[in-house]
Amino acid sequence: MEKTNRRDFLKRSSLFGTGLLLANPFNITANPLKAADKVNIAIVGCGGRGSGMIFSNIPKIPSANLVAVCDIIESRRERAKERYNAQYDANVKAYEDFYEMIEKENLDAVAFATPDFWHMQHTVDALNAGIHVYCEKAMSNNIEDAKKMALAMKKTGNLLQIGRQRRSNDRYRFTHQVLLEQEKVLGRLTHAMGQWNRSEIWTQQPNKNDNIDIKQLNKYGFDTIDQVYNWRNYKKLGGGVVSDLGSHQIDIFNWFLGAYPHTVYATGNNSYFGLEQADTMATILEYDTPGGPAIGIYENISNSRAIGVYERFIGDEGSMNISESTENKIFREASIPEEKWQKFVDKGYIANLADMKEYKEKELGDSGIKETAPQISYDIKDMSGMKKVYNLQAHTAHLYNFVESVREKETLNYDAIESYKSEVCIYKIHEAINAGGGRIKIDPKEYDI
Amino acid sequence: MNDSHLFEHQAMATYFKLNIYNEEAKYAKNAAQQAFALIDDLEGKLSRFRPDSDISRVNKLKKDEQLPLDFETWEVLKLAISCHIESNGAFDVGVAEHMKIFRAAKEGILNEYETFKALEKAQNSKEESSLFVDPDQPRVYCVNPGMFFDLGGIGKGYALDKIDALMKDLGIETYTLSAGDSTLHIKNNLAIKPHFTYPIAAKQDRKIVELSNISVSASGTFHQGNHIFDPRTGKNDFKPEFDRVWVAAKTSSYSDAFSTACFILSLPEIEDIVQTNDQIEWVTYAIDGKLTTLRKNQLS
Repeated sequence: MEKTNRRDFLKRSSLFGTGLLLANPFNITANPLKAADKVNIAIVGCGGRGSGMIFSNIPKIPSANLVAVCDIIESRRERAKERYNAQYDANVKAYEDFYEMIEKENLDAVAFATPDFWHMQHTVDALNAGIHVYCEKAMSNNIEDAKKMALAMKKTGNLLQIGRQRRSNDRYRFTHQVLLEQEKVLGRLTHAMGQWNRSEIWTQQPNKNDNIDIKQLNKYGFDTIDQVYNWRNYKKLGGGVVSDLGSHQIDIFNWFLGAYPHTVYATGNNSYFGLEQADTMATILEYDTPGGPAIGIYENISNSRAIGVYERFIGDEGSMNISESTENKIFREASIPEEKWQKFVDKGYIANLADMKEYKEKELGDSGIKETAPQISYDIKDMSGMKKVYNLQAHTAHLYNFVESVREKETLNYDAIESYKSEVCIYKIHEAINAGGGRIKIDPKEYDI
Repeated sequence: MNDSHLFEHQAMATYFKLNIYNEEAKYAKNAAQQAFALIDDLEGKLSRFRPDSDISRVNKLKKDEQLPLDFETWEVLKLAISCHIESNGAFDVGVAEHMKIFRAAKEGILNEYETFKALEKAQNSKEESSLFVDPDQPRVYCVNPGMFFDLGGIGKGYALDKIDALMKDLGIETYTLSAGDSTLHIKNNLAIKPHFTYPIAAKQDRKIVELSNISVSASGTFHQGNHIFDPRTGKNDFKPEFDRVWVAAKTSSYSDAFSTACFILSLPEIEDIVQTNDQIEWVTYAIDGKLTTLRKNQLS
């Protein structure tokens, strides 16, 4: 956490109203790094996720210096360049061709937010050129290419972080490290469950001012305009809902359970939207965890947003709902005495959501006889006991961890070898769905690189 | 080509309705998808109920800590500060702790006495706190903690303004966009649609207003109960002078924020705002079931 020099601040500041300030009281050096200490980085792909990197993630990383953006669609890359340069008084350049960019720019690192089918070649070429890589998940749309990426990282010794951002989310890291591993708050984990519910699979199209020449885009592997904008829906270009959404959550199953599944059962179909990729899928994963057998249950629905996106972990002493988008809820099993969990409260790890002790009349927290109080559940309170708390949104934290690893200040939270292991079971799920549903055993050796 | 294409999206604890005129159906749908994705993205940054949002992080800042912000969070906080100043404190985003206490009271967690004391404590803590929003870069500094942000009074309006910029980029000139029916953003190419008509109603009065390139927001007690408290005192025993207030402004951020503010301001204070604030176009209020409209140079 960055600190300000309060004395200097107060000397020159002016307060108004109830304390909200909008003045320039002193010259705060928000970014003390010199240009030479920064990581020169380029973003490849200026669509939804690429824009997130450019406008939400990079500006919050003091050690990142965005030097270029790259996209095969002219209007997209030019808009990104112009907006970034205007907002941050920068001099970012825009390229159509990735290879021209890495030739011309002095890059330390590159981040890919491109269709899955492009990941392997660009990643391997960048690593071989001495450039560290951050690549959005999925690693690829096939297991062979994913393996090539992990092997290239191993061979070159350059960094390759894969974009499953929950791995750098402070709450997920705290849950894994402190609540589950250190304190075993939930007891022995027996089940992991997850869902990703959304209203529809978007089919995007060019904006009026996108001047697209499909012949020009053919050389990049696209046959139609629809493939350019909706590549996720094509098997030769992307991985569909299992890779795009499910892999984020199943990866967390593997992480929290401390194991990879030995068997997957999966089915799915495209019956609602009729696209190439499945729009509905469900899978059951069987694990042998260090604590005993466990089951993972995962579903993906694309025509109803109700219930949203969450993961749920069940142990024999409690359970927890965790999500990137909503508040955590941790439930104690009634068979576990409240006193046993009080120590987690006393350590500041969790707080009783129905508590509000600071406002209670009596020390015991008794408000007398009144309306029915809500059910007791807990939330994460302070992330004490963690060596590193990013205090950044997960996408920013994950890229921050990568950039700081390039600077040799941190190590990667989620390198390509770790990612490959999770992707193995994702590709097995694909295999079962594409076969019309089925059960697949996974040899432990298949997870090795 | 159909005259209009209507799309709905649930977010920010309400629903958004976007009606796009004079465009092909596929293009309108494409635009609606982008608009709704933008709303979801903003909710992820601005909601205090999202544990990973900028605002949740700001609310957890300890003494002397600072935090980089998303550009949009920075932009909306600066707007909130402007609205706070221009409404003489009647609009205030630093009331999240008060809201939390109201919720606890409603759920039976705190009794009446505790609620009253808790509100006093929250208000004292807020008055002793100070946060600094850097005007030159997207960053916030906590000098003294104790004030917690809730952007419920401006976030939806801000989202509509961001969609306005998106629609301009997409070349869409005529549309209506509402957030939970309480803020309405109108954009129209006069050659295609000279104006849109909407009713505003009080108990014994009803008007049809013609709206063109404007934002209108409403605040009242009829639908949501006596939910508006006075941030200047930190108490919820405020007796509103009006049944409902409608504020028309150049931007939805302003109409949203000032509809909340005007509901607790006195009539002379509102007249002063209508007369002097460049962003505010007109204010209509309902007292005893009758509607009255204030415009610049046409005050009551």
